[in-house]
Amino acid sequence: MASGIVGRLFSPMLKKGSGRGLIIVGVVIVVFVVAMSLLAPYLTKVNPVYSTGQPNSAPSSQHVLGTDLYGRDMFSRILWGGRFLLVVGLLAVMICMAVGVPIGLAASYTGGVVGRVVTLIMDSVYAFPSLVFSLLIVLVFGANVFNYALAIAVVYIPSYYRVVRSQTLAIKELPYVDAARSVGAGYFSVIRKYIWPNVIPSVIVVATINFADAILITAGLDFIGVGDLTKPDWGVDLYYGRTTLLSGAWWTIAFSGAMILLTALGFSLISEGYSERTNPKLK
Amino acid sequence: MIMILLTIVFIIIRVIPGNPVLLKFEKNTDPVLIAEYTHTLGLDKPVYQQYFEYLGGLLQGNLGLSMITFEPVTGQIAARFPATLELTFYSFIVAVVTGIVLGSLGARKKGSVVDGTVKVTGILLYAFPVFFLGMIMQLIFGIYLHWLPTGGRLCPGCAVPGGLSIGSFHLQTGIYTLDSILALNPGELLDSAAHLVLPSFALGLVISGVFIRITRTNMMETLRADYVTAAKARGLKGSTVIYGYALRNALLPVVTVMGLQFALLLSGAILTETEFNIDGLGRYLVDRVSFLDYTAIQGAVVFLAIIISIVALLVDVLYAYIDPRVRL
Repeated sequence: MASGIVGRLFSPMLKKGSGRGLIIVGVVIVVFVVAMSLLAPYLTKVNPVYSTGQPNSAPSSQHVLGTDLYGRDMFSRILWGGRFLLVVGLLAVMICMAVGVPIGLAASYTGGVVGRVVTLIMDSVYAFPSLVFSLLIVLVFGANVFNYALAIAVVYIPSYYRVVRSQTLAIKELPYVDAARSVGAGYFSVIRKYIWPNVIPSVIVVATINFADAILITAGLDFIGVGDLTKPDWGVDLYYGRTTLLSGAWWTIAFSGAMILLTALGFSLISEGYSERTNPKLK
Repeated sequence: MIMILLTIVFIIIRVIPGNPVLLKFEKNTDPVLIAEYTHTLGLDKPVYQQYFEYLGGLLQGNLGLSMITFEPVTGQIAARFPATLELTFYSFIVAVVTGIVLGSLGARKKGSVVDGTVKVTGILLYAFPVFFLGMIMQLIFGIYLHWLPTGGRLCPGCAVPGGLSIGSFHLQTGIYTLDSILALNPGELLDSAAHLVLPSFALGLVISGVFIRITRTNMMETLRADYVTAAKARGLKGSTVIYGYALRNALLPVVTVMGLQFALLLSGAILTETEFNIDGLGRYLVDRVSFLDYTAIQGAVVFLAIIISIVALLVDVLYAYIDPRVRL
């Protein structure tokens, strides 16, 4: 079952057609970043959270990417610094999929007052600056991985809801859905067998862009300084790097910032490529 | 919509276990003092009563007292908002102009290298963390080239632009570029504008990613429309067809998106203000968060919700103005 869903989600991605180049570059970037983060302990023996050299030293043979204001090795911090962001992104996407998609399907298929009320709430959250909401949630519930993911999921569920809703509303009026109902297909089986498969492509587009945004929001929260500032993390690097930047210590921000950009770019490319493929208007 | 957001925020903030006042004090503070503080802030009343009193105050423009400084939150926000308004305004212009110019360029040269570059630029800008772009700009234009200031709103120690004064009539908006124009002071205008260049471009360029994308796709669609073909068939100049016929219609969805992008713009403003030391609403929010000043946070959030609703309304009006079909 699980492999069936994964296969259905990802096999069409690499088929020939428009957007393929974007998807391939995106996947390569994402695989690179994930592999780098997973292999961090094998790629460096230098501890990323303890001082191992002179503070703010420029890149040299000893510290390939220099050190930050506490003398921590930037190369090691780059390797380790993606883990938190990636885990938050993954969890956030999973929560959104598990909550946003079913709510969207059920509320839109049911319609009526329930549909309208849910839409109103979702639209309100959607129109609000995501960073502010995330900030509030992380602040109130505490800055751990799960709460970060939850914070991003809360602001992102409306995006899933909107996409699923617009598709469902169109699909549920189609004759084949009527036909299924008239031969006795129940509420859940109509949603699962006839509506959900047609919603999948749009959900993939939202999910990949959600991943990119999750990385950007999490890094933003770390940059503001709300989270745990002791962890090795690209966003935290920029938080500290900001203070030493004016003295010209570019290496304290350049690599970490570039990694955030690269990771977000990877997911955005996949999203763009996939939406180009599924949206005939762009061909 | 404001009500829903307000209620959500109220619930989130009241979820915090325990008394927020306790956070302000050391462990062994006199309980009487704590009770007094709690009473002053109205936190000893039942939650539903606090909620309705807050709503009542809101209707009179009263967002309560700050938990830390005991000043009215409304006044603090009013002092900070002009800076944010100024930043978002200029950023928005940068975003829309960049988006429309690059987006329509890409659509015209569809499938070419130019189009590919535009497309990738759009995605790249979207994926850029705004604070990182800001840092790169600070480094290049501020630190290496010394062309532009790297932070703040005015040169250090400079007086705040005075605004318009005619006799006893006095108008000071807090929007420094506007105030210095009203005060007819070119030096101040130049200074405040110079401080805005880097933050506006950093934020504007990041937001423009979305506009590039939307303009490009919509332009491609309209360029295939029958009336464009008809215009071409009548022998109209290429630029007339594109700017007079296609672009106008391609911009309709762009206007809709503008309203929704406003939230993204405000998120970005928080980060940009932090990065460039601009004393705006975003930095106020971040400051208050670090002090756990819940009434101030709540006030700022409610204020943002009101602003967003106003912008949504303006976009609807603008849309009706541009698209005659809506008025019918």
